[in-house]
Amino acid sequence: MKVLAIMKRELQSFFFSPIAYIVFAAFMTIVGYLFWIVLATSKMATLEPMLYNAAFILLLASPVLTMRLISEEKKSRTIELLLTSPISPAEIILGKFLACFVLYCVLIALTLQYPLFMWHYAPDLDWGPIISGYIGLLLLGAAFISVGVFASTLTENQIIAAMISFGSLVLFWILGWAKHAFENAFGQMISNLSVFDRYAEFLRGILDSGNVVFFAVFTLTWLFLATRALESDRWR
Amino acid sequence: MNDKRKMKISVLPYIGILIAFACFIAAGIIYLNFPSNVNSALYTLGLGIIFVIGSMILRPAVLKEVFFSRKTLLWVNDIFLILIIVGIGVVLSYIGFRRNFRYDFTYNQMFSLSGQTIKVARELDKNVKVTAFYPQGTAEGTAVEDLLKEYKRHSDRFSYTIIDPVRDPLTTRAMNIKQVGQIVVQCDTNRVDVGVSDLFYAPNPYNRNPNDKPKFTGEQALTSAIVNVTSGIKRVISFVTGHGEGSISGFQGRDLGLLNEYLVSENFEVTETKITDLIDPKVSVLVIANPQQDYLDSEIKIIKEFLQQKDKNLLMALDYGVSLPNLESFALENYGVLFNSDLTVDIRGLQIGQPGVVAPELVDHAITTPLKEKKLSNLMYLARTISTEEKTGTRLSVLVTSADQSWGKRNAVNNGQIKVADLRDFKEGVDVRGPLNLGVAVERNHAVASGSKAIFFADADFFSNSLIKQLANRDLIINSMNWAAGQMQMVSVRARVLEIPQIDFKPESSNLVFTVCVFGAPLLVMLFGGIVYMVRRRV
Repeated sequence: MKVLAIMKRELQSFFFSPIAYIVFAAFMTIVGYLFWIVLATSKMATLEPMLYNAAFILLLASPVLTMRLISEEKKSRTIELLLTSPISPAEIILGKFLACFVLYCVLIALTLQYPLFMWHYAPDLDWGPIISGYIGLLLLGAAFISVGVFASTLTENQIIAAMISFGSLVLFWILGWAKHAFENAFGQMISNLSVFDRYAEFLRGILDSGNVVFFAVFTLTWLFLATRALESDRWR
Repeated sequence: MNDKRKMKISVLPYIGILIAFACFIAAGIIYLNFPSNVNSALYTLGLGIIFVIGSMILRPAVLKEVFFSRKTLLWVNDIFLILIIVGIGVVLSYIGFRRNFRYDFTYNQMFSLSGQTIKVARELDKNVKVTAFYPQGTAEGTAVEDLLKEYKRHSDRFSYTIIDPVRDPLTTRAMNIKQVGQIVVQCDTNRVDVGVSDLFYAPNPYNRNPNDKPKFTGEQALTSAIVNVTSGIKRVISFVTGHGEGSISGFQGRDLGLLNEYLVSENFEVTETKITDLIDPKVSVLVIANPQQDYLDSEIKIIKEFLQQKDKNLLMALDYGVSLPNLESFALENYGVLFNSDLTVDIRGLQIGQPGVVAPELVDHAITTPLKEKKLSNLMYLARTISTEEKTGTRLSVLVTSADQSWGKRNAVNNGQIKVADLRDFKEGVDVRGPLNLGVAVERNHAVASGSKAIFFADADFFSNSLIKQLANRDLIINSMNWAAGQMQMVSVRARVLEIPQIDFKPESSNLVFTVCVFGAPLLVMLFGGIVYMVRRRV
């Protein structure tokens, strides 16, 4: 219940401010433009480029959504109130994460117009890769947000939190390149941490339990780190 | 001055411990990343130990202070907790990777290996090494790597390496690579090269046929190469010519050029035989497909003698409307297979206004079971019917029949023309009710004919150029060939060809999508946001 209360509070602060709508509109304009340009030039009945572009735009947008989650509480000194209240750091983190994830889901739901457009022009559209692509996009979003929440627990400066989050996400996005640089087990090990390589499988239409477990573990690990970072504020 | 000096001295041991830590981590990374250069890792480790000793000389209690202060213990506690959680995560991810469940969401399981490939991969009894030569980051290289990963998932005996010819010219030259995109498949001392044109099909730029699209045909090519390199044997299939049969190099509707291509990709050697003297003893399967003239007695005798030898097999497909008494009596006398002169009429063909079209039903057999399991179906055109009688020393199995709602039409031809109007009516006492046999397989035991096999089809159109691409026709005929040739590991469902789907997107549609997606939808969201904001302000 405490988690839900925090989530509700966060969602209200998101949706009652114009920021959420500005982010939504900006995201839709960019993704809509990319969807149109790819469709008009390639004339291919696939949403793979759109889902790929959407993921990259979300990589840029998610630090903006998550940067204020804890940083703002720290800056306004309300974090002390929260930490001294009968709410555990894990509940605070989970509540804020879920609120941001709901916001993210709304953002993703707004892109459902693109498959419908595609279906209108290609009635024999293969829905399989679209369904798996959206599943991948949700898992990827959860991973992005968890990193953002962690970054937000580290500092009271929102810009720094956004930069830490953005840097980390870009790093996890491009880790897959390591397998070409180090053609050995070390390179393979590093590239296994690449969120992009995992997400690419979903885009192709393949749902692999290994990838689902990876995203779940990735998200939970960062949320745990965020909890520990918040907890450490008590004794640091 | 003294205070400053004191401070410097008090800070140094801690810096030393930090550097030591960094050295230990660096040593680990060097060891993992450069296993051949263990000395560098040892030197770095040694440097770390020197820093620890130096720090302890400067401040003997430094280790105690660093490791046993309250804050440090809390940090250590956190780090341990984090390490445990990360460790659990790594173990779970590893289990998820090793014991994974994969579901291919694409229509027709486009990104899953075909049954045939999985069978070949799982039945590998020798190590197969594949080396692909692709520059980094190319779409073609990614497609090939994805495919190789799938093979690897199904067999521990399969390994692969992707080499960038630009970054590693020495290996590229050593392996005698002539073309970027070439793939080398090796097993023991055998080597088979797969070229780019075998993996990718690029449409002719001057051909304006909209159905001619770029395709990735890598799976078929690679599976064929693996079978080739592991078996080392190429079975020979020979098509009899000289009686008006379709040409194996022709690309007219009734020719067999496509079948020839598919057979070559299945690792067969395909030849043509004119029965004048003896049939080449290398031939494993003799194919008599849709002759328009009857065979001479002397030719029948040569065929009989050939089929008496060990592992010599026959595939015969006779179309409706051609009378071939010698050939038909040869099939009846030797195999108990009678080609009737009835025309198969399928109610489903009538419903779509194509009275000659037959949708046959598959019967359980080694040839047809893989198709049945995948719920695949076939299509025949102007098929006759087959009756059978059991012969001593032979085992006869039905492969395909016509549907329940079908019949064999007697005297469907009048003055050389099929009377389409008459086909619609079943004449009791004249026509024969279905289901009727359209394909049978015969195995003769060793006492009779060295264990040879024969397959008979009541239609030859289904594997001609005009129909072989329809439904699972290609699988049915190639499974039959593989079964006859004794290549049971190849009897399966063929790899699908990955095509890039295209849509007809007109300029007016483009304008509509642009207006709605780039302006309409975002403006709507902004409008909604504005209303919410204003309502909230008023509250």
